[in-house]
Amino acid sequence: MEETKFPVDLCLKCTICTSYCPVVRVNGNFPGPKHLGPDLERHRLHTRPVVDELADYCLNCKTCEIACPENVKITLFNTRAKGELAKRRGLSFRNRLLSRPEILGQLCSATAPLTNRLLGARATRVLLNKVLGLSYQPFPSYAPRTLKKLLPRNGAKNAKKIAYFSGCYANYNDPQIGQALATVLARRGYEVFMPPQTCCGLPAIANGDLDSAYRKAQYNISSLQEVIDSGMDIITTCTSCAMVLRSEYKDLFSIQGAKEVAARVYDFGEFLLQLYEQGVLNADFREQALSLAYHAPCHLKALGIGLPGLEVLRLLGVKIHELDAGCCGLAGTYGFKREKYETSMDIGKPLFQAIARSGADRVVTECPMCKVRIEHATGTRVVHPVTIICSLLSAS
Amino acid sequence: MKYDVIVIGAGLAGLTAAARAREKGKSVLLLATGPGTVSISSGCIDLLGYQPGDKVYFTPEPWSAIGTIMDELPRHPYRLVGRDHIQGALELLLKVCRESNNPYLAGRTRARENFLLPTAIGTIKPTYLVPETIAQGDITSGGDVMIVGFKELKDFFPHYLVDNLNATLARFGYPGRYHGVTIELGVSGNRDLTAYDLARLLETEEWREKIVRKILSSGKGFTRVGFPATLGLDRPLEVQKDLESRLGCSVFEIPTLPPSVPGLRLYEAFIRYLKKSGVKLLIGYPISKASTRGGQCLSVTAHLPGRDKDFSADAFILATGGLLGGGLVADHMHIRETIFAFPVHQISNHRNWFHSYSLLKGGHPLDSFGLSVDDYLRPISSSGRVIMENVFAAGEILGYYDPYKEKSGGGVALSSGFKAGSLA
Repeated sequence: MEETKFPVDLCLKCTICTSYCPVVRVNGNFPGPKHLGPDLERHRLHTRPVVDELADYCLNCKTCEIACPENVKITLFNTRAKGELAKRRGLSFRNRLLSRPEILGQLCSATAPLTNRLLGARATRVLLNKVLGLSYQPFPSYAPRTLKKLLPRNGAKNAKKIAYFSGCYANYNDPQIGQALATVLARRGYEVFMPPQTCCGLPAIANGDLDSAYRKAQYNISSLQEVIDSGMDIITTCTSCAMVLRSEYKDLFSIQGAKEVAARVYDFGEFLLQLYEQGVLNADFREQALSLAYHAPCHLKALGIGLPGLEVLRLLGVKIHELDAGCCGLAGTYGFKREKYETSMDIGKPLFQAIARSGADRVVTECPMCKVRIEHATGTRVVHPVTIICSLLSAS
Repeated sequence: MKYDVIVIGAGLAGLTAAARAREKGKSVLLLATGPGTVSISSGCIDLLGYQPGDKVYFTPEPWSAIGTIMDELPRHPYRLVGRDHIQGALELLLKVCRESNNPYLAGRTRARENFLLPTAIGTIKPTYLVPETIAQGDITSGGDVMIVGFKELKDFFPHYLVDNLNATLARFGYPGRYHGVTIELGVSGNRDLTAYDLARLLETEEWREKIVRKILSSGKGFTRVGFPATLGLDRPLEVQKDLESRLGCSVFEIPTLPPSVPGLRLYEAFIRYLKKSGVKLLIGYPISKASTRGGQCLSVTAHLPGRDKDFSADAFILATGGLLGGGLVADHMHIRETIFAFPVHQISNHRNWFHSYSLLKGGHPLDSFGLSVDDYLRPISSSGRVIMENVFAAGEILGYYDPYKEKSGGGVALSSGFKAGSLA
């Protein structure tokens, strides 16, 4: 489809986006997607663009874009506005820190047991709250060995190679996700390998650090371009990384190859669903000990692929309740910020209530940041669907 | 994966078609660019408000007028749909809304007459399927009626409504006297309050109590109190009952500008119903094209983030709407259909599209442009040949009727969607 020349003109002011915005629902100051996106965009077309400070309160959850019947790229306007805002105000140390999970990951993973204890300590949290303006949302813990080190280097002979864009979380925090993916796919004749990659850049995009995000995009695209040139597909387990690879690079930055790479990125669930349809994914189903509830991350919904992770689980015979209760509110780095913590927790309330009502022993979701938030807010443990699939298949 | 039926469009026609096809045991996928125009509508569904040809007076009872249409206008969608499908569609809608705790009424009386509802600008709207929370606003009930507005809600002016309505009532000889009051909520926040925000507030007992106290301090002894349609998003009946017991009289809603709370409730009721009944939904992405072979549609292509994806089915229902919904687009010379490029019935010389235009009187030829279909709602060519055996059209994309002049858009969408869902 062709790009529209004046995308603001597509907006009919129907306000459907505003009705579905999770921030609008809880925060009476937030002007909402219609105002911050297409309305203000007209004023940004001038040489000295108008920027509303409240643009910073957008979650970039994409709910507005999915709701828009005219397909206006609302968050794209907003992301550019955030970039302009960050340029004018300068990027705070805190936001700079939150924008760089790959640097935090390298540091914390190398010193993991100590860092984890330190980051979990009450005193540290108080200090970080007072000095840096971080909220009391706990950080995810770091793994002492990264996925990159743990992933077996050579697969079976004749194995078909598939490139895995792990994202920071599976690499630095929870390598089990990547290991589970590798195990599941190895049995179907695939060798999962990690091409050179850095943070997808979404935290930087969310904090308005567009230059840094652009550099990351360039790095990842040039690496992934080589991958697809050699005929391989790219697989992800983090739905936000997938969203960035499939839409943000292409829409936000005009980097050569972004479009070609986007077309070859598959969410793990989408990929496994294809294997299931080809008849090569079966489960050795045993008695299900735990009751499970599924939460769909916003960025998975934004991929337009349905809920393939949930679908695969069900096809394999897992009984799982779909929560369908909206956004968790964390939005990557948003809920870690002191001034946004309350809004962010309020956004997640319907979800937390739905989890409590479901009585589930485990919540299942793809997004690592949803996991961090749900565990903090409800105390229920959260697992990635691929680890469940792996445990079902391992006996077969 | 191949579906039995793919429905394109999430307006009233598409939602109804999907619900009906699923009811018939089909596997159904609903594809849409976004929530359809239902979510910005008044939530009230018209059946027939004005007889074609009649320019001024609304029709009190739509059924005999529909009978006249069936006898006299062979290409009108109501004639093609037939009475049974209209009746079936109404029942399906009542069921969907009942399951969502937002029950609707079909017709004002046992005689199945149109409701006559006050609008936000004080005109009278004849309509047929109405949420219980709105139905009590019917003007034939008369009495002393208080219309409440809120200073912070800039989309609803009670005094404007009341002045117009009193004049209209006098002109048509209806009973009743309307009064207006604007109360100040004193809510903080930089954003202008919308109907949606107010609906969220009214879901809380605290705000209901506060508002009721302010209304009662401005006057008592009313037979009814009318609010802008903001009586909560999820459980409007409970909010209505609670306000009635606090105010000691009956309470009703009047639809507002978008964000329209009754429109959102209706849309959400359908979405919940479809999910529960096992319809797959993919809403948020445009459908760019269809691939066809030998008079059959094989698949349609959705334009997803990053790549396009084809979805195949045995049958397709085209419910993408008219010029507003995006199923039809106009350039300087022609109006065309966006997915299949079906021929659109239109006045060929675009110069004739322009003439003095009135929403009510006489109508505009543009509004009756649309697809020509056979008795099975399949698009046909100018020679009357069915273009694709397995594609059915429903809703505002159909031609040969004027939804704005007749106030028949909702009823045509609902019933043609129902019939398409039954046939596909």
